[in-house]
Amino acid sequence: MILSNVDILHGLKDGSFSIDPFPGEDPGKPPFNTSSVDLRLGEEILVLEKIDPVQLDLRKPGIAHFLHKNSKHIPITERQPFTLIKGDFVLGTTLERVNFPIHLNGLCYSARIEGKSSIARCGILVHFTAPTIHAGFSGNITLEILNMGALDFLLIPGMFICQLIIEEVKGYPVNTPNQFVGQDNPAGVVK
Amino acid sequence: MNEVTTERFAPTVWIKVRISNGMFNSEKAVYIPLSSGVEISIFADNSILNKKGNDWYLQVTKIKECPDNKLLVLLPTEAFETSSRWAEVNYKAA
Repeated sequence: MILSNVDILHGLKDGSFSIDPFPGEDPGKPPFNTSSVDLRLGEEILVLEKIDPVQLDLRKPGIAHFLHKNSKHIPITERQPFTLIKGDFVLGTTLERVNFPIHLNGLCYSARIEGKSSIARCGILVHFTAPTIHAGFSGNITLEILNMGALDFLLIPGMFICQLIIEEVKGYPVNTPNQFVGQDNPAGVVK
Repeated sequence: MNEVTTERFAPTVWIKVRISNGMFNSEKAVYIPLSSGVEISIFADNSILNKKGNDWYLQVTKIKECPDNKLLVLLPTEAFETSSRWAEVNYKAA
């Protein structure tokens, strides 16, 4: 079940999940939509450098290090935004940090990143194929940004770049729950 | 390895990892040794990493204790090498 703006605010206030900075007290105003909350673009863009001849083989160890080593880190500001040329692909992050802890009892929450229609109309994808923020995630959300449009596009820090749709997770999200599911002791761990 | 659970949330533990710079300033590249001997890597937010002496630790969700001092944990994000958040690691009880 997708949370309404009012329920998102309620979940933020009761600590079920968090968005930092706090998006605001009025669910009837931006960044809240009726059933999502808008998130902003952060202040870094990562450009994966083209190095030939290289094929990414995820079976090999150290992929994270390889990606770091072969990417260019570009800080952006309002005065110096990043020009996303048509056809180009970069990584960005949300300005906001989110946290979706796994609850011992009761509801858990997960979320999805979706684009915004205003930006989509310009031909910009802000994520593709991996929108899910699973229960247990904590941090800034990485955006896979691709310009499929006819024109270059400015990526400006602080712009509303995507929306976060928050959903209830029905049932317990681990498949070996006997360790702590249904327990009400504070540690939640079998003695 | 210390449990840092709170009453509301699933128990978490800190597992020993290697780190290097992440792609973004808010994260680090984290290398996690599995009990199988294979090392997997993820990018993890700085807030769930902790340095103690010369060692770095990653906060993960504890799922199940397994025989032979192994622990099934849920990583904060998918590992590149396994495309999975599940990981079985060696551990020593605190």
